[in-house]
Order: sequence, then C-alpha cells, then structure tokens
Amino acid sequence: MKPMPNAINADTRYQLSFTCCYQLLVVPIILAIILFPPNLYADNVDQLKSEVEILKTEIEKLKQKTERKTKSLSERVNNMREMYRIHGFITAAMATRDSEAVSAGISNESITTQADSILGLQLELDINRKARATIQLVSEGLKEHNTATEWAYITYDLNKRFDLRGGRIRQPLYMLSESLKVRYTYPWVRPPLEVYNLDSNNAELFDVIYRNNLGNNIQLKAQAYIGRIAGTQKILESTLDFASDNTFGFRLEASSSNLLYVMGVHRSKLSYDSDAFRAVDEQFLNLGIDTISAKKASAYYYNLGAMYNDGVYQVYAEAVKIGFDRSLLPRPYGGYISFARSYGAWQPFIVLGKANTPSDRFDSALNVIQQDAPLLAPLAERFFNSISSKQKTVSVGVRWDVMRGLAVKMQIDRSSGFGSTNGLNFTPLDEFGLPTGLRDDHIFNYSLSMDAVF
Amino acid sequence: MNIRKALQISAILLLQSIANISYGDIAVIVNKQLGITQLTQIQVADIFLDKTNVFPNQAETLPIVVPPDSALYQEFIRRVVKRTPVQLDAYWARLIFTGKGSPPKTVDSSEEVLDYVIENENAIGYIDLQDVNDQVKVVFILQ
Repeated sequence: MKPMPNAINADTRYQLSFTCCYQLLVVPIILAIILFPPNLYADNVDQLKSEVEILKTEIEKLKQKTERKTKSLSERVNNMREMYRIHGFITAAMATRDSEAVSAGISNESITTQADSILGLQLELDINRKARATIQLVSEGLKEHNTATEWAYITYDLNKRFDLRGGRIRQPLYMLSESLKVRYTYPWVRPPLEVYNLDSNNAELFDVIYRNNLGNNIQLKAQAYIGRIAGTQKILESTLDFASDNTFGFRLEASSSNLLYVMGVHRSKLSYDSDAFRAVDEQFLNLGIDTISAKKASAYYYNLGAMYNDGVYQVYAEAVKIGFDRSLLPRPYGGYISFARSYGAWQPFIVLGKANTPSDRFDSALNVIQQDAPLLAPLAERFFNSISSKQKTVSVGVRWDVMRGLAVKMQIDRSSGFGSTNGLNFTPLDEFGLPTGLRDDHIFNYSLSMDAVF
Repeated sequence: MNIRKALQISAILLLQSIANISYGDIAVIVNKQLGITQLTQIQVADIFLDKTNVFPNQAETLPIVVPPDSALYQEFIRRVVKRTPVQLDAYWARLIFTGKGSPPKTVDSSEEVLDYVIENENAIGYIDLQDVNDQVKVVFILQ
C-alpha cells in the first residue's frame, strides 16, 4: 500500500514551516549576537563604572570644597568674634559707720547702698592687626549712677616693645589706678583711702608704653604720658573744679613671677576755682603771706608701690605724696600696707593705713597772722586744719570667692588719730563755710560687698 | 583606732592614685618651625600669664589653652602658674580692664591645641604628654 501523497506533503510542509520559523527566529538572534556582541555590554558596564567613579570623584571634590568653604566661613566668623571683646564688672555693696561725718559716701544716717556700687562695661575692638579701640563705660552710685566714659582710647602696637595710646585714659597715679573700679581684682571692699583719695578721671592723654624682658624673668614696663586732666573734687562740702592743660608723667613697673614694683612721678600745672578759697586767699594776700590759690601752680605727685602674690600670700604696700611748687596748699602724704592669706576660697586680710599733712608751712603762716591780724588767727587755724588730713586706719576683713568671677567681701575699718583735722572725713559747714570738725576720737566703718566680673 | 587610721591612709592613697591617673605628665608644645628647643617653668608661666609676649628668640608668642573647667587646665595653672582658677580670674580681670593684656585663646580640646600648634608657627600650648606626636616640638615637660 502506497502512502498517501497528501499526508506526506503535509508532514513535510509542517517540517519545512517549522524549519523556516526556526530559521526566522535564530537568524535574527544570531544577527543580534553578531551586531551586538556580549563584550559590548561589558564595555558599557565598564564605561558606566568609570562614569560612576568620575561622579564619585566629583562628589568627593565638591564635598571637600564645601568643607573647605564651611571651615573658612567658620574661621571668618571666629575671627570676627575675636575682633571684639565685651567684658563687664559690677559691685553691689552696703556700708554704714558710727559717725555723722561722711567718708567715701558713707555716713551713719542709714546703710548706704550707693557708696560703693559700680557697674562697668568694656568693649575692645580690633581695628586691624596693629590697632584696637577700648571703651569703658562706668556708672557709680557715688556719682548718682550717671554713666561716664571712663576709658575711650586707641592703642597702636608700634612694634613688639612699644605701644602708643591716645584718648581718655586714667592717669596712672596709683599702683592699682587702672583697675581701681574693678573691685573684684583686689582683696578689699574698697582701696585704702589713705592713698586712694584723688579721683582724676576725665584725663585726655597720649602715652607711650615700652615693654622689655630684662632677663632673669624680670619684665620692665615704662609709661610716659602727656595731656590734659579735668575734674571735680569735693572739698569742704563744695565742689571744686580743677583743670590742667599741661599734665605729664612717667611710670615705671618692674615685675617678676610673684613681685611687682611700681613708681611714678607726675606733674600738672593746676588751676582751680572756689569761692571759699578765693575769699581766704584775698585775706592772706592782704597780710602778705603766701597764696593758697593753686592758679597755675605746679603740682607734683609721687607714688611708690609693691605687690607680692605667690598664690597663697598677697602683700600690697604703697605710698603717695603730693607737692606744690608754691602756695600754701596742703602737701599730704599717705601710705598703707596690706597682708592677705588664702585658705581655699577664703582670704582674710588686714590693712594698716596712714595719712598725714605736714603743718610746718601752716604754722609759719599762722605766726604771721597771729602777729599782724590776731583776730583772724583762730579762723585761719581752722581753715588750715580743714585742708589738712591726719588719719590712721586699721582694716580687717575677709574675701570669699563664692565661684569663679564672683566674690563676697566683708570689711571693718577703724580710723583714728585725726588730731585737729577732719582726717579723710567731711563734716557739715558752719557760718564761715568751714567744717564744724569731728566729734569722734575714732570711727568704725562696716562694709559688705559683692563683686563680679563677666 | 587602727581601722580608722588604715581607712584614712587608704583614702589618701586612693586619692593620690586617682590624682596620678587623672594627671599624667604635661607637655608644653610649640610649632616645629619655632627656633627654640627648651623653656623654663618660669618662662612658660610668664608666657601663659601674658607677662611677656615674646619667646627667648624674640618671636611673638601665641599661647593657646584648653577650657578652664578641664582637669588639664586646672592642673597646669596649679603647678606652673601657681594660682587657683579664681585667683587667675582676678589676675585676668586686672589685665583685661586695664587694656594691658588678655587671657590666651581657648579651644575645646587637646586635639585642637595640637592642631593649632601645628598650624601656627608662633603657637604654644600644653597637652598630655602621651598625646604628643612628631608634628610638634616639646619645650617643657611638667612631671
């Protein structure tokens, strides 16, 4: 039996069509493989990888750049912050005494919180690498809390050794004159009055400061200044305005690790005016004795001081003297010595102070008055006593450093040895405009203060 | 009595050992380019108290310190400057408010002191001796 041709043909056709379809599929695949070989994908992957690496590098560069910029910005901000510095100090205090006479703003009328209260703010601004400006504003209870510009000067660093300053600068009359108002810096409630009794603010000065290391760790600092001082001084319960366009001085400091020595010589052509003084002066000139007027008189001021601080013991010693080239003005001198010892946060201290006004010139003038105008003599004697100061003070107290930047101090002063003078006290005036005089042999002051710096 | 005394001695020894652990030797470091090799304790104290603003070779000083509340700072000022932090505050207040000086620049950590000294030729700082590396020069060791 012959196979059916149609059936064979159908199988063959099926096979043929299958083969054709197979070839149709395979051929494009082969072609695709030929046209797009597998190693090309590999190249693309490599390329992509390298592109990713490039991107990574770019990102890293950007990151570093951003970090650099952030750091630079941060440095600039820090530099700007370092360009200016603001500091402050404050003293809140209360004090009283057992005498009606007033001293340093303290009386027995009430417990005063005004006498020693001080608030100060200081701004330092770097103008450039060589120059900086300093401004210090101070408000004091003794001056009705009127804010005064205590400092306003520009410092120019000439070189490593020399600084030039100009503006409102405190005249360096004392060892501690430049930090006088910052009471946190010393052990006492207030500096000893036997020395620290002149307030010559409002000094417009130019000075040059020289620094040198002399070897053996001794540092030398010399300051020479010239300028103008003006101010008011309360004498005989009246306000005395004084001024000098011709003030100059020299101050020398030598310091080693624990020691500081200071000496200074200062000169002013002083003029002041007061009704009381003018009236007395007229009488004196009529009698042919020396004038008490300080009109264009040369005033000299000498100061000598030493300080020792080894971290446990603290010793201060200082002496000052005022002189005039002419006139019957008083020539007082004063001094003190202070010992303090630290016991942890506690620092008890004792201060011995003395002030005196030599009376030889007054005695000579009184002799003349007693001979030529005996009726005036008692009044003249009272006048001379009123412008003289004799006083001895013993102070004891303790400083307690409550925390960093804050100290509480307690101090008791006993003043005596006034002689016929008022010491460093003020009493009410009588009908002649002269002080009624002290009724006390000794006076106690009681003070409590809280000092802070920030 | 013996037990009490023994306890006291133990407490003292414990405190001493704690102190010894807390404060290692302190190294005063300067930049490697600075032309000095050694400083005395007094010279170091004078630099950090702003009593001098030049090194013995007359190069300007740029002191840098760690924060005042750190143990390293307190140990340094106690042993080198011989002051308590409170006494030092009064000292700086006197200098600041007279415009005659200022305390050294303060950074947050010993690492920053190290970086600052490496970066600034005139810098001088102090760090724990064990933190010193060869990028700075030790000019004084407080043992």
